[in-house]
Amino acid sequence: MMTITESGMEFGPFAEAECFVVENSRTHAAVQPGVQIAEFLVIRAGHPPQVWIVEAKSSTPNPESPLPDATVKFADFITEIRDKLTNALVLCVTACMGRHPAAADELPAGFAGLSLGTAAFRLVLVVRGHQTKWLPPLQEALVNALRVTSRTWGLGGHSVVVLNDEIAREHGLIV
Amino acid sequence: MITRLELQNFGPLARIDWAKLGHINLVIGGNGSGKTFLLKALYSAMRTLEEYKRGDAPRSAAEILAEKLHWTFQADKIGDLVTEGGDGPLSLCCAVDENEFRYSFGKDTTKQISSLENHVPPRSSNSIFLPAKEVLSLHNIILESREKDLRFGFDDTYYDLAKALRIYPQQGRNFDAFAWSRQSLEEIFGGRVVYHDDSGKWFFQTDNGWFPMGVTAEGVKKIAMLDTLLSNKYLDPQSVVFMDEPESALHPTALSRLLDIVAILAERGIQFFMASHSYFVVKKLFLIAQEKGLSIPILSAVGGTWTYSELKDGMPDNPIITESIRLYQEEVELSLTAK
Repeated sequence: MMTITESGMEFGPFAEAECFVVENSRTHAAVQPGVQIAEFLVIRAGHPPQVWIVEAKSSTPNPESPLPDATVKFADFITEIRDKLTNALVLCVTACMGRHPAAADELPAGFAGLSLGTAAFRLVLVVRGHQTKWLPPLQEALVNALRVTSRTWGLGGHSVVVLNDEIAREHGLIV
Repeated sequence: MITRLELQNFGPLARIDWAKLGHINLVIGGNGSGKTFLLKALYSAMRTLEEYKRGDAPRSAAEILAEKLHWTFQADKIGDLVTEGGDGPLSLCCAVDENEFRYSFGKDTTKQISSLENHVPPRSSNSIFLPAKEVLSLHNIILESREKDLRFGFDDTYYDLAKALRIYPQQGRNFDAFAWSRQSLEEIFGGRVVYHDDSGKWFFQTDNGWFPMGVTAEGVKKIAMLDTLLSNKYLDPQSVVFMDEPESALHPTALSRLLDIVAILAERGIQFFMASHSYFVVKKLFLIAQEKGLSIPILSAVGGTWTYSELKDGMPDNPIITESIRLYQEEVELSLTAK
């Protein structure tokens, strides 16, 4: 079993065969520079199994602030998260397809055996310390930003979620 | 400006004690909580103060109030407004610029209000109640129903509004703040409504021509009512505007712009009381309070209990807010719970 420490949160424990820390992987290094990416991917059992692509943050700009610079910061923040989650999705699927030589000896067994046609993908942002009431507008903004990705990849209408550490813990994502 | 409101045993409202009122005040709560009732109670009081000693009418404040309550709440006898099983008579006290107006009456009252105390100087300004629905398309029917037939159906909030809209636009300079607000209101829908004397009907005028009210969007007509009341100078900087469900028939973008205009008008003196169950209204007013550092008192009904808070201090805990969080949580469960 393994845990991952990111943005002041300890994620896991996950079976090593089902967790791919993509951010620190050789596969990610091989496609640099210029490819921002989420922290890790983890397989959750189910019918079909789900692949949660997780990005962790210790804070967000305030989307409710009326100040113009805060609005810009928030838009930049959402764009950054969108890119990281989308890139992680693409890298995961293409690694599973065998398109990245670097992935051959580091892709966990669970991913190597994943049925890409039926697996469900979830794009997950976890923000430490956020109050639950701050999460709905953040989730709406991220859903909106990831609409094209969700549709073109056929991820379904509820593939994007934003959690705080408390809700992430309830869903077995945090120790 | 109304600075304080207290009422007891007023229909569904057992007790309200709302102090430190602002230029914008918001009442939120579920269906049947008494939001509209509260606005109408306050409206009746304000119209009584405004009709008292106006022109040559010799009526007493008690007579005006009894008639106002009768026609606003459409109760056969005004004693029917006293809360069923309440612990005493109905009473209302409001302070206008710290001058008190108070009255009370019991269940057996037909139309004589014996207890009324008024320390508010006569007012030349007008207050208005903007109901959830527009009245422009029903304008003539409302006037006919009330003036010829003298029938219940359209209460005084509708009748007073229909009469106020009938006043011709005044020549001369608009109040400065109102000119900008009118332009903004007209920009929302790209036109204005105009009354045609010959046909006795309202039309929507745009650059592309004139359109009958029947084919004009409900939201346009709602915005047009406020525009018209600013153009005919029925409203002035001391007026009080009661808006019931401003969100009704308006797209959230138009609603946001309307509330921006409300904030400008409020800065120029007009006082607003709004009743709403819209998340957008609460959120937008919260942002206005933050941006302008403006006090926006909020009265919220939760399970029959009224709580008082301030949007400048944050979003209130209320079923409207809670429901948005519950929907979010439902979506998270749907997304992350494997089958």
